[in-house]
Amino acid sequence: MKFNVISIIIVVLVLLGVGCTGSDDICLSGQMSATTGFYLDSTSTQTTINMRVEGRYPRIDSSRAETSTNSIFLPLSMETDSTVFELFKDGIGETVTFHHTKELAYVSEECGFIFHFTIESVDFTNTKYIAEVEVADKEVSYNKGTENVKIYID
Amino acid sequence: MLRYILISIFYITTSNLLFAQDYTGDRTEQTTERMMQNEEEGTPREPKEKKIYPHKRRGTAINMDISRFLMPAIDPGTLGAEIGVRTNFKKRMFIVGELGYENVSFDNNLADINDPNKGFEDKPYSYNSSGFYARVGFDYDIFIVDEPGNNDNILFGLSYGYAFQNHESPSVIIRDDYWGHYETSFSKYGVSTHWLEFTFGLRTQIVNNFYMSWFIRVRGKVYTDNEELLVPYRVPGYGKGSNAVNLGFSYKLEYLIPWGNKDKGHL
Repeated sequence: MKFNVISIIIVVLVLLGVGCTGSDDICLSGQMSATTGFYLDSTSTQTTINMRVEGRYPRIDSSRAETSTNSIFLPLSMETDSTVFELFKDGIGETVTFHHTKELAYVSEECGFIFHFTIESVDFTNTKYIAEVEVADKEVSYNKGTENVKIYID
Repeated sequence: MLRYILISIFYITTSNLLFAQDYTGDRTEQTTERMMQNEEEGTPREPKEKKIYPHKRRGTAINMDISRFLMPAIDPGTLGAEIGVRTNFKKRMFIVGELGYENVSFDNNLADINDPNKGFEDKPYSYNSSGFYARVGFDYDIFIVDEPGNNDNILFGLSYGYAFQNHESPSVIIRDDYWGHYETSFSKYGVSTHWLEFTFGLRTQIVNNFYMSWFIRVRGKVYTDNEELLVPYRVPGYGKGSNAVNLGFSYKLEYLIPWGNKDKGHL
C-alpha cells in the first residue's frame, strides 16, 4: 500500500515535469523593433498624435496607414547598421535615423533565432515638429517590453 | 498530446506492475501482534529492530534502454540507442556505466513564410546533430526484504555524464515582415556537455538472471563549451540543450552474469 502511494506520487510528478519541459513555446512577434514614445516637449508628458510611418532605408515603404497613437514600434533592419524612417505628423514628415549594432541570439527550439539590437544613436531633422530625441533604453531584445526611444514634440 | 498519452501509459503500467507486490507480508502481522501484546501487558515498546540487508544475487549485468526506441514518437527526427553495464561494488552498491548515441535531424518549412498572417509550419531553422554520450556513477539499494530469493532493488544513484556532438544548422530564417526575412547558417562544429544526474528507480527480476528496471532521471547541466554559436537542440543523453535541468526516464532490460554468490545460498 505504501509503495502504491509512492508510485502514484512519482508518476504524477514525472508527468507534471515532462509536461513542463514540453516544447509549446509561444513565439512573440515584433521583437526587433524600437519602441518609440511621443512626448510633449513642454511638459515631458506622453501625448497622442496622428502618425504615419514610411520606411526610407534600407528600402522605401509607404504601405502604413495613419493612426492615432502615443507610441509606435519601428522595426530595425537586420541587413544594415542603420535604419531610416520618415515620421509624418498631421501630414508633415521628419526623418529619424537609427544607428545600431546587432547580435544573433537563440530564443528557443520553436521560435529559433532573433537579433538583439543596441541603439548607438538616433539622428533626426529638427526642422518641423521634433524638438528632441532621447535614447531611453539602447537594448532592443526579445521579450523586454521597455521603451527604447522618446521623441519630444514641439 | 500523443507524447503525454504514451508517457502516461508507460509509467502507470510499469509502476503498477512493480508496486503491486506486497513484500512485507508476515512481518507486518508480527509487528501488529507485538504491538497489541505490548499494549495489553503495559510493557514499554521494544527498541526498533535493525534491519539487515539480505543476500541478493550479485554479478555484472549488461543492459539496453528500450525506451530509446520510443524517441521518434516523442520527438520526431530523433533517433538513439543506449547500452549499459551494472556491477556489484559492495553488498548494496552498484557501479553503473552507460554508453549511447543520438542523432537529430529536421528541416525548416518555409511554405508560408511570405504570408504575414501565417507562422512557420515547423521550426524556423533546419538542424542536424550526431553524437555520443557516456555516464558513469553508482546506485545504492535501499530495498530490504526478508524474503529468500528476492533480488529486487529500489535504487538511488548519482552519475556524471559527458556528451560530444557535431551539429550544424544549414538554414536559419529570421522572419521580418517589414524589411524582409534574413537568412543565415551555422557550419558543422563540435560541442561538449557535462552534467550530473540523480536517479531513482526500481529493478526487478523477471526470470532467472533477467531483470527489468525503470529510472527517473534528473539531470543538471554543469558545463557546455561552444554553445554561444548554436545552442544544441538536443544534447545526446541529456535532453533539451537549452535547459539547465532536464527530466528523463529510462526503461531497461538486463541480463545478469552472476559471480561472488558461493556459499551464501543465493537463488
